[in-house]
Amino acid sequence: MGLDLLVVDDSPVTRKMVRRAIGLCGIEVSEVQEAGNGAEALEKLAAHRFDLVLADINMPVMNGVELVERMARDPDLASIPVVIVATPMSQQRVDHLLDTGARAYIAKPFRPEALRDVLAQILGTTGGSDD
Amino acid sequence: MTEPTPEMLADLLGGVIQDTAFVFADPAEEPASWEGPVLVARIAFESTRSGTLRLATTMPAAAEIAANMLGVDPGTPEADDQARAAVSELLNVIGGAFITRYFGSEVPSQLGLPATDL
Repeated sequence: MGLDLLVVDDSPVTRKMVRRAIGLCGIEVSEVQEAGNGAEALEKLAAHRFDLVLADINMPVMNGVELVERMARDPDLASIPVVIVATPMSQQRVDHLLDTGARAYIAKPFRPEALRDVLAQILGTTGGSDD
Repeated sequence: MTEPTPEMLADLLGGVIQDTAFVFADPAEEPASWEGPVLVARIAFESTRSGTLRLATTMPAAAEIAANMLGVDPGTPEADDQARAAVSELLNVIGGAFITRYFGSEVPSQLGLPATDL
């Protein structure tokens, strides 16, 4: 059975790029849903059980930092891995996100191989070869 | 702290646009003479110093960037519709690269949300 993933980013272009990268990973995916900010993501998370969340940081309404914090405090969501996919940021910010509950951080722009390796590490999935 | 140089900004732009939008760009001696509307994206940054980065381009170039980022053919409605969003995201990534290169990864810094004007 494939993975159910939630992509959270205020840029529709980035959401599609992440979807493409997921497809190029070679990882079996059942469903990919999208959210434009952290608040929308929480609504999606309340309605559907996801295997992993890929989230940007800089978003309107609710940013990725608050999303990670809210998920960590919610017993129903705390076990869902969150991978931050965001522009390069200070090490202090990365450390805070990882300490708060994010499982990994991938800096934009990223290659599908980087996403594949992170997903494999977190979920124990296997992907396609580098072609 | 020295001012960011045009060479530094050009290097940043060139690297990000290549890695994100698969466009190979080289610095020009003179600014381009553009005809038609110009799309300007801007993003604020905050660290030990604050400021705004701006990225200006033509709509056809923005649509080409969008097409490359989306993996669709140039000239498609999707590329045209997402041109502003693509340039916004491009500047967002440039902003991240700028603050880590200029201020360093150990200095707290933050980016605002990108905005575009035509």
